[in-house]
Amino acid sequence: MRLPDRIEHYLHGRMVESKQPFCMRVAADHRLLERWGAAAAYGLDHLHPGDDVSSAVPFLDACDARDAVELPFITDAVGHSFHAHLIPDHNDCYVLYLDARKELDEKRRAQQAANEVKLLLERERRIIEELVDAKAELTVRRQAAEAESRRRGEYIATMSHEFKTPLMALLAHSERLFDEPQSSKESADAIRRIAQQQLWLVDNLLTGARLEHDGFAIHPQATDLRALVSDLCLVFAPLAATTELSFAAYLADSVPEFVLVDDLHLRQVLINLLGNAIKFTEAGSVALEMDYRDAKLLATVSDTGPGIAAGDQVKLFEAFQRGGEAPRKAGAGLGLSITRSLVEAMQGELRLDSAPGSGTRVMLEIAAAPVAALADDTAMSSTSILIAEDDPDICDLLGLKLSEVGYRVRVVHDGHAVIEAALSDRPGLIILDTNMPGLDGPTAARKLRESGFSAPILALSAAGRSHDIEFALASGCTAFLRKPAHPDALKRVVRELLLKDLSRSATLRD
Amino acid sequence: MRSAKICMLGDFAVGKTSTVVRFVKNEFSDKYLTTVGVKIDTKLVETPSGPLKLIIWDVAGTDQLGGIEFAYLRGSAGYILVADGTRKTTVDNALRLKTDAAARYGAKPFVALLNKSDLSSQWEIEQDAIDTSRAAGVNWIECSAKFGTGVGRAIEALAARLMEPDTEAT
Repeated sequence: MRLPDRIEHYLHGRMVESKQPFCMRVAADHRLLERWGAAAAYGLDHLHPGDDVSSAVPFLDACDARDAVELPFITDAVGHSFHAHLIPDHNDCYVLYLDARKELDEKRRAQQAANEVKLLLERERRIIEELVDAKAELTVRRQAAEAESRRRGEYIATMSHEFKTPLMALLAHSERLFDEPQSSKESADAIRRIAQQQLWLVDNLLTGARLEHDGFAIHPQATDLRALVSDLCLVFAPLAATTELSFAAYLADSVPEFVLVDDLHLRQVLINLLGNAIKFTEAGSVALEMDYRDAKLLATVSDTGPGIAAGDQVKLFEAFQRGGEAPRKAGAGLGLSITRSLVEAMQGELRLDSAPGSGTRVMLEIAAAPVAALADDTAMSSTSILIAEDDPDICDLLGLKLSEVGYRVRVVHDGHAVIEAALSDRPGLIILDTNMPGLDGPTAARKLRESGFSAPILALSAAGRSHDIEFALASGCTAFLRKPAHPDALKRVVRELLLKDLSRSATLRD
Repeated sequence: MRSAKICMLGDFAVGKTSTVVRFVKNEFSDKYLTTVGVKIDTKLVETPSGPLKLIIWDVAGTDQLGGIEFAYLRGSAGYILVADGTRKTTVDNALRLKTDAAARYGAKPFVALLNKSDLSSQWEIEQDAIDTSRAAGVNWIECSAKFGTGVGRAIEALAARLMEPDTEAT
């Protein structure tokens, strides 16, 4: 069908009106040869035949193509939007512009919506990834919390067992004391042994809790190693005897009388090692040897027990672990773990030499500078000691034990009384409970020092955290001892403090 | 005066148009307005070898080149690759666009911009990925069209490169 001229003319008019066509014929050197149409609609009405149009038409490269090229939706720097068609013709090129503003707006709206949906989907993907990561982390934390809860549950069950069984044995032996007086020696031995073991267990638990809470603080002091070994013999020889083990302690001549170490930590380490040796050795012997070389204390605890396989030695020093082949014995498995931590805190070394059937040797090596010999005991045999303690039972026990040695003892029961008594009697040493009614120990110590009282003050307290010790020492106390202190340990510390004070007084006089 | 056509290549919404507007007019708008087709702008740049008129073709964002995009890229002397540092897929997409363009028109000088460095809390690109890309010859430059940091220096470096004797500025 051929359209009538009238219809063709109508269509042409509508196309020109809506598309505003503009056409240029451009030579190969980019000069304008001729133009037709709505140049003003594209800001090109300033172009005339002969002008170089490469700047105004920045896409003439496309004229190099063999066939017609369409570049849709071009927007120029001033906002004209058009479709460009480049149609090569011999050496020239026809460049046709068709208006694209209306199409551009419609297409942009659709494209914008599509892109925004894609962005939202990407954000959603990212949030889901973060949620998955967070869920995985929560799962890990929950599993860790459950494991910790299980560990604590097992710990409480173990501790309950470790306390309940010996307490039942204590009760049984106490009842036997009443029911069968002829067995009193045997029962008293058993009660002492069980009570001693429970005391070590409590010491280890408290030390472990302190370690977890604020680590160990080391307080080196002049320590009488012979007195320390003697104390250990007093405790362990009877224990060994109850199971017919032989127990011996040897000190080499090279060991100085006094060395600078943390007395309490060293004592706890040796107690744990000896306690373990006795616990796991059913026959034969347990021995403690002490030697001294290059300002280092070398202590070896050996036993003829079952020995420990190499595979079990690695985990032996972890909390709640025991040697795999060893017979099941009482104990929480805390002692060696705490021993290792104590030795590390003292910057010492612990070595193990053991094999199944060959017994065990544990070797301890710690730095221990020698301290010059102190004055003789005779100078202080009748020294007066003031005890400030609100518990009458503890007062009686301390008074009795110190009087046995020859000290003159006076007892007061609160912080105000100790200041009054100390300033009037001028005792050679004060034993001061840190937690008393009226005025606490550290405050009383501070007031005494402010009043010029210079003799040693030994703080005695059930609290044993490092800051309790530091606070007591900072308040003017000379030394700190944790309750319940073994009477022998108390006597030893009192003796050391008095010896040092005598030595200091002698130096001042000189 | 010499002139050179360069094309902006990158995924949608990575900030190609914002980068051009920051470079040409030193302006910025937070409103996202998608580009349809191509926007052509020009900027006269001083280089150590003299002035160069950059004709910048800001091609609509895409993750792959088709017939229309190849028509836009014809005659381009170099590229500005743009990726969005808060969307890691846009880095891979930009590298693919560069590879496809080189396959059609040969290797051209380019700079690679990692845009939106102002959104560090949403940053998804890890340093390892940037290092790996650098080892493969693509040195991503962190920039912010919003604050203008890094944009001008990177494009001017490309302009200087285009003025070197073996390149295609006309």
